[in-house]
Amino acid sequence: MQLTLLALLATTASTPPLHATHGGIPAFARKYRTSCSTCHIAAPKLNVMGEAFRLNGYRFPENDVLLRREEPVPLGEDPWRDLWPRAIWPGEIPGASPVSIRLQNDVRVSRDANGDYSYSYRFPHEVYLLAGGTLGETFSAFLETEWTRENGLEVVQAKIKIQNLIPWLPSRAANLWFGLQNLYLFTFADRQIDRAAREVFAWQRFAATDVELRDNVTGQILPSSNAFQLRRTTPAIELNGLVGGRLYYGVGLAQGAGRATEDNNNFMDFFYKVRYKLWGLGLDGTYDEGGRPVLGSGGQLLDRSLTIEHFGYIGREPNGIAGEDPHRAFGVSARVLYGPLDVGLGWVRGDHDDPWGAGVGLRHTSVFAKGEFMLFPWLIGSMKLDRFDTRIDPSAVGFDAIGAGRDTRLLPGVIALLRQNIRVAIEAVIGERSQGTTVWLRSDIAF
Amino acid sequence: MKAAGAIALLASWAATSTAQTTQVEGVLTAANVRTRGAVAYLVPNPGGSFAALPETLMIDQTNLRFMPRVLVGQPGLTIRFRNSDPVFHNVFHPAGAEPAFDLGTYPRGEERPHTFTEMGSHVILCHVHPEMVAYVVTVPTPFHAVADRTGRFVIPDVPPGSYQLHIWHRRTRPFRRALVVSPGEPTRLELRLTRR
Repeated sequence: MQLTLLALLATTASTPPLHATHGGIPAFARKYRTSCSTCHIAAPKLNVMGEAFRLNGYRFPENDVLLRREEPVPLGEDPWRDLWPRAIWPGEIPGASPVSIRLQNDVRVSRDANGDYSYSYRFPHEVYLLAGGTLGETFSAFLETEWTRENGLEVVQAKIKIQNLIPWLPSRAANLWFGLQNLYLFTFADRQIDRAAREVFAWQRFAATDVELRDNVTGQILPSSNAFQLRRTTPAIELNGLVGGRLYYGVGLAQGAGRATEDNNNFMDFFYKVRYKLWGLGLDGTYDEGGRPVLGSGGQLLDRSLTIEHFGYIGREPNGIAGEDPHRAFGVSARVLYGPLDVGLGWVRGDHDDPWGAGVGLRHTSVFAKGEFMLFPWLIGSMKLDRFDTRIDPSAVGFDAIGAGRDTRLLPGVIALLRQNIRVAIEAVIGERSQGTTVWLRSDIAF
Repeated sequence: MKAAGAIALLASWAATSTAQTTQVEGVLTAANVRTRGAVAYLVPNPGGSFAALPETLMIDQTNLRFMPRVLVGQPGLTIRFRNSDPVFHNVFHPAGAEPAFDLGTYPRGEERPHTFTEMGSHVILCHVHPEMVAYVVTVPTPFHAVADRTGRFVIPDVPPGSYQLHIWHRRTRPFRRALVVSPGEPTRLELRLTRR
């Protein structure tokens, strides 16, 4: 079965070099001379093979050496291993430039609660400089810098992956990733892993700073300075791995700095995540005995599987009143892939013990769902439901929370691939309470 | 006595070679390993070997590479290591089947020889350029070949008979299997090697 998959990939990888510059993650597309659809469904959303590739430190799970078309530059040949410690252990660097660029433009049309419209052309809205590559069989590196109109230039991710940290354990059982990184607490509904449309769910971007506390006795309004968001990248060390090809675990320590990347306190946040996949392509990129790839009408790699995820995050950040806000969040999700259909349901709950330094807690809960259907290999319909609820500790008498409450949003979208590396999307947010309605027309080009 | 036996065996094979010879060809594959540069060789049964004939070949250092990267011969093989690059190169062999040697570092146009007397694979490196590597493989038979970039090898002019087929590759486990070569049609093989 592994040979079947190899043949499938080899067929894709041997497409003419013309396709090489059409890669969704172009640095990897160039390396393997393959198109985006080898690893993506409407990049950056990963297909099942792309996820196995990511978990394997940007290597194909089987026969990576045979699939690559750009030979790496050796930094010392193999026999130098035998001379260690008298010589430097050999390594390698990518043979082609590992740098890629993504350019995103959008037109935004909003209708607020008063019925007033606003239009804005944001050309460009985001520019990414991405670099990724393997440095031999063990090390790999990934860099993501992002320029946005709102935040200027930021280093979003800069991480090193050490695969197979403990050689005597089974392959991929223990890997160490460290650096500034996205923790991918939930791959469910993450826009870089399993969601085609761009807009994030409310729980992903929520921070305690979004809610202010009003003291009804004094009239004082207390803000919070805890800007921690579950989706933000953070300096972290993570140990992860696969058990038996279908159970994934990750556990680590994070700075938990929120919107800032500098140290914000001496407390290292703790996180864990587990994922189990039933049926379909294993998380290790192989099929069980008798399993076989599910192919779409255009030959794209699909899957029939059920994935269950759970995560936990326990942290503590400064609340701005010479104190700290211990907080924690937990979530579960289930995702079903059935050929062109991708549906899932998730639940997240978060608690802050003291976000304003007033001894008043804050809780948020979220139920969210998504459904995506691939009408054609180049056309995907998307619908997300986002229900988010924030409230202060009910035992806190004499306080009100400004910005808290329940919000339900519907996010329909259509994503079309003009080319493998050029996509346009129409996405709307129809809000119940806070946002009115916003429609985006987006373009996304990578090269 | 041993040499006499080998010569007798060689004479026997020489006589056989007047009969119809054939070629043994094969394709080598391995999981996650490119099998180019693998060495295939045939050792006659039972446990025979051929007397080493003096032979001199050249490995050139050109464009920061050893060319060819893999050379195969019998013990007694002399290699002239030539530097054709406009930079200094070094040639050395860390200890292995053959005692370690270092031919020194020398400029363009110069060449230095070394004779390989021991059986086995010998790594050749350059102290100046760690990315350069060559392998000299000495085997007890004149029936040998190096696999091309597709993993294909062809051993020509093989007399019919019973052999042990050996495959050597830096990144795979040693491979050996019995092979009977019949007169007439070439013997074609597809072999799967196991990664070391």
